[in-house]
Amino acid sequence: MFSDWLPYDHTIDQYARNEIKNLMRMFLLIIPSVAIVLSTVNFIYGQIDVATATLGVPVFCLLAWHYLNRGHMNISMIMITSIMIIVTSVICYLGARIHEVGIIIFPVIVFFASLVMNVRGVIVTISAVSICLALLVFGEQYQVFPSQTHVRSWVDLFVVFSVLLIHVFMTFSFSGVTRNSLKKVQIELENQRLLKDEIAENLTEKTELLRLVHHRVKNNLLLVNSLIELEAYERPEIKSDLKEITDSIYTIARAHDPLYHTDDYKQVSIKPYLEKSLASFVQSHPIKGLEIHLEDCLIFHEKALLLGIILQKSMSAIASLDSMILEIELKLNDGMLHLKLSSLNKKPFKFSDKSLIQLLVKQIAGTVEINSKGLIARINL
Amino acid sequence: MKTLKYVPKNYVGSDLENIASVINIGYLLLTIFLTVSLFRQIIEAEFEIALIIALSILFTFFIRKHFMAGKLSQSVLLAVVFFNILLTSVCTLGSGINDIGIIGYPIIIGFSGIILDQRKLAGGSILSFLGVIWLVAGERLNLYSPQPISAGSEGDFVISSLFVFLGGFIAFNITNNMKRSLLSAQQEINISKKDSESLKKETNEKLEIIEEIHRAVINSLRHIQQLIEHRQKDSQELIPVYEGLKRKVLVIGVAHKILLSEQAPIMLDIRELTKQILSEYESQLKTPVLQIDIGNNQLFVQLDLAINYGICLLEMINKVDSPTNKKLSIALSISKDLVELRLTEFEIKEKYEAGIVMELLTKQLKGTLNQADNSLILNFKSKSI
Repeated sequence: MFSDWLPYDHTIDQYARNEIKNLMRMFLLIIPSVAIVLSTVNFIYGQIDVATATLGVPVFCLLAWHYLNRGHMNISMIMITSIMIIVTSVICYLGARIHEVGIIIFPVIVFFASLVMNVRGVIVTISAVSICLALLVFGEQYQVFPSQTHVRSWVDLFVVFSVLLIHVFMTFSFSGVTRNSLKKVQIELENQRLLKDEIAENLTEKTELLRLVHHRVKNNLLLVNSLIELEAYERPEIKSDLKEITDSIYTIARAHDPLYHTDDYKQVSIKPYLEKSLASFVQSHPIKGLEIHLEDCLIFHEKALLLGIILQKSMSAIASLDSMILEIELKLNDGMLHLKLSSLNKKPFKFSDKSLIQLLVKQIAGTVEINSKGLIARINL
Repeated sequence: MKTLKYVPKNYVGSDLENIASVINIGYLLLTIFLTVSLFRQIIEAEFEIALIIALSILFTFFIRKHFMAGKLSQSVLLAVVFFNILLTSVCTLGSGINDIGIIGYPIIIGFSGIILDQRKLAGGSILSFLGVIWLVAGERLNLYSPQPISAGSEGDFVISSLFVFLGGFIAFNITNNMKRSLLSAQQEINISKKDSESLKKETNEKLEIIEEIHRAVINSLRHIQQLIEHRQKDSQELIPVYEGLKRKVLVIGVAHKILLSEQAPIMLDIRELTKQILSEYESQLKTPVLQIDIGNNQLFVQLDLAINYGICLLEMINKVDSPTNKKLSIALSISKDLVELRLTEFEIKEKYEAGIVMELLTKQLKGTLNQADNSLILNFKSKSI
């Protein structure tokens, strides 16, 4: 909370901490050097008091340098701003007050604050400068301190020149830090956008590929079926024997049909999938009647295809299917899938091959009850 | 507030939008400042300076018009040149180097430093330096006579404070806007990075699902194998048909195993497929010795084509496989996109008859199947990836 009130702007800190520190170090060398030269010149011209006041700058700059090196950016910044305001005010007071050329340092201090400080820092600096200006003007006007005459000299030119030179360099360097950071970030942003587009394109490609893989798997399984049927075409006597295998392959192939999948192609919507399998089964097997009550849910396609095979095998294993009105129920309860086959016209069930059904149910971690009343399979999802 | 936030239409949506908004306010504040200065000079009966300031107010409107037209850099450069001349003139007519107007030089240089490039900044600064040299040297060489310094007055305080405030306000706002743009760009980068990460994650998930599909197909084929074996027990006479079926299932299984191990979604190498199929089928061969030469060239083809080829390979082997063979040589040669599969050194019993299945598969491969002496050759072409 307290750090918010300190003048150093942490926005800059995130991107250009080192650059700002290096620039500060450089100015903490340049400013005292110029101050020492000015002090010497003033001393030569006999302005001892001004020369002494100017010597305050290098002393405090040295302290500011020390704090900067210890990582106390705020203390260093407060120190350099304060000493500059105080020394400028003293020099102006000792000189021509508001008409002293040293007054030119005030806007330089304000610019420095504007470039590196936060809004509170800038307000405090501007207020301090305004108070000093008021003191210089009103102090003289209301004769708090007496008026002074001033002799214009080449020293004035030297002062203004050195201040302006430092100012040019300082403004360009400090604003350059933000400007360069902005440029760098904009380039990075553009690269990041390109990268994101590339990844998005890759994702689209992978999604399409995923759909394609399912499609190809389905096609390949159907190809195997076609080849079996071709062989059966040459030898019609084996057609009925191969029917069961081709039906199973169809059931597996259908589980890979992208039509029944969710957007991620990982899960299968079980109701339309089983309905399609049953419709295909009914077409090739005589059955008196069929009533279907299927609850829809999404299950992983590997389980879905096994469930399809279990249903298909169970139905083809029923001995008197042509005289039976079969009811098929599929319900989801507490993460368990319940598949129930029962007869609506009270015909007893007789299964030709129970072992295969039991084997298949076991493979998907389920249990099965098979008796004369029908079949109940419970599969853990 | 609406006027203060106004962005000239030529800058809306551009990179300079924020800076233009601040400069627009800057021109407004400059006009107010010049008007205050004008009144002060009129009150103090400094009519020469008042006239110059009045002209500069008009010129400010002219520069602003330039700025509104979208020529930001040009208008700032124009302002720098004009106000350097104005300041020097005002100070010349006033107290020379000791005029409070000299406070304006660092402000002009400050703007140049923030907005202009290095070259233009150098130009603006040189003008300021020339102005200062004129003020000092001109006085020393009696080229002009500055007014004597009087004690500071309220007017001096207002002008100097306004100067300092104007400089600080605009410099801070321009820099602050640049920093805000920096922050928002950085935030945008972070959002974009997060988006990229989630897209990457999604892509990886898709790859994992593809792997799962291959695994599921392998498992499904295992179920089919079980079904076939289950049926095989019931009817002995159909064993060759079921064996044929198992061969096809084996090829699909091998293809998906390769895809799974190489984490490839749909493309697989014909050479690797041949190697894996032969390695899995070798134990079922009746021929005692099998010699395999599959070369080093790779050819990546799509899953469909690979499976067609694999079934062809096993069907060809099955046709010529016999315990009477001493040896069976299988040579695969891949040259660019051309594939040649050659089965040799088997005993010729009769002329090879492809059968309807092999004819169909060869047709799907868009290839040819030929018998010459004691060799069986399958040729086909595929698009290399």
